Amino acid sequence: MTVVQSDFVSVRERAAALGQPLPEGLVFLPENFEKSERGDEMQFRGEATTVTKILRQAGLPVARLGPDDQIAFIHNRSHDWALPVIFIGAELMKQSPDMVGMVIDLIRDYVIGQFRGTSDKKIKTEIVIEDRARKTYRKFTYEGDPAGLDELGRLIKRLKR
Amino acid sequence: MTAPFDVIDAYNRLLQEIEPLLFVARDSSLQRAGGEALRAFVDRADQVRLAAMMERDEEGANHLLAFRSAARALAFEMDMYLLLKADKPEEAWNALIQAQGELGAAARAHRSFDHLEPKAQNLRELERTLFPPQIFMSAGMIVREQRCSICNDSYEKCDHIAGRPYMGRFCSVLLQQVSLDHVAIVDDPADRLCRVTSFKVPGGIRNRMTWAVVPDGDAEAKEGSLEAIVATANAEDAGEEVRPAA
Repeated sequence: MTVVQSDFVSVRERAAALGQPLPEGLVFLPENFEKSERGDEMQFRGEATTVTKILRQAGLPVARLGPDDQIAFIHNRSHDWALPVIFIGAELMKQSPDMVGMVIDLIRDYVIGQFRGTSDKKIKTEIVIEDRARKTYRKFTYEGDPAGLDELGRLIKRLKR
Repeated sequence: MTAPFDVIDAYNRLLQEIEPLLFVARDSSLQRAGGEALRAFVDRADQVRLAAMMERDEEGANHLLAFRSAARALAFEMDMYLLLKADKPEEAWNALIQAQGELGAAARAHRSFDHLEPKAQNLRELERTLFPPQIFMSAGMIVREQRCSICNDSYEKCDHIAGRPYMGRFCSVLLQQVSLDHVAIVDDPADRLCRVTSFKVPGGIRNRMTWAVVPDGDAEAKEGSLEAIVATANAEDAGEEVRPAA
């Protein structure tokens, strides 16, 4: 299991450069977010739809960047399960400090349910957190078994302090 | 509610007969008979599952889906031993991967099959003990339309969740308007049926599973070039299936 932290582009500036309003709440970012030219088709990991449904059914605010009629889905078969990049803005982190934990719990429970009766399954998850005071964006990339996702939650929680 | 008690009893009796046969050294005729008995059970479980679906008995239908998947897992495992003994290791590999997929499906279909982790580990171990190391492939596909296999509506709009059972059937995402984006060699593929099958060597093509070299019909092929399975049409264990647009 590994969790890698790295700097990420300014989500707000990048969304503005793409001419896309940044929705409130949890936002799924397209795979080509950092490279896309304005007007390009937004490409989301295929799992984005399923995860959106799971989070919405649990009452969490979640949206996708970009207009619904200009998106495509990337179905990569390179991992057992790979989650689309999730952006959590500073305001949401402040208003709902338990949001990250809730998201991770829901994702973990779904993936564990999906992998029931199998072994050695691996997942990949990326979460981008905004720190408005420092004007920074940190990306946390988790790769490992679903049960280890708790560690990702703990690391992000530590960042908030 | 449909009470599948007769199916439970039949499955348990069948399991007692089948489990001693799940070794490569066992008699092939006994294994073939065991495979036939498992398939007959699957047919019977399917009939009862359809009846439960007609009665709108979701609990019973999902339970029967689990029995169906578990019996199919055993049947595929039995096939694997028979195919190995018939000198058909590539087909045997496919049977093993299908057995793993069905076992996972059984566990997802109903909570009463939640105890299959040790069996799953055993099947995964067979990959390493019975077969040589594989080089796996992964295809990246761009998909413009996703439909739900349960309601046939846009998967974006409906409430069904891929991989979960609904009234005796799994929800899967039907991928339409698909184009290939890239192909890559990976360590952990979602679909272990996707693998390098052969590569060019002096004098012919070497099969990566058997290591045998057969004469090459393609004189133009460069040494080191390879053949691989990069995608399969049906990947229900991953909750998605590639289907041509209607």
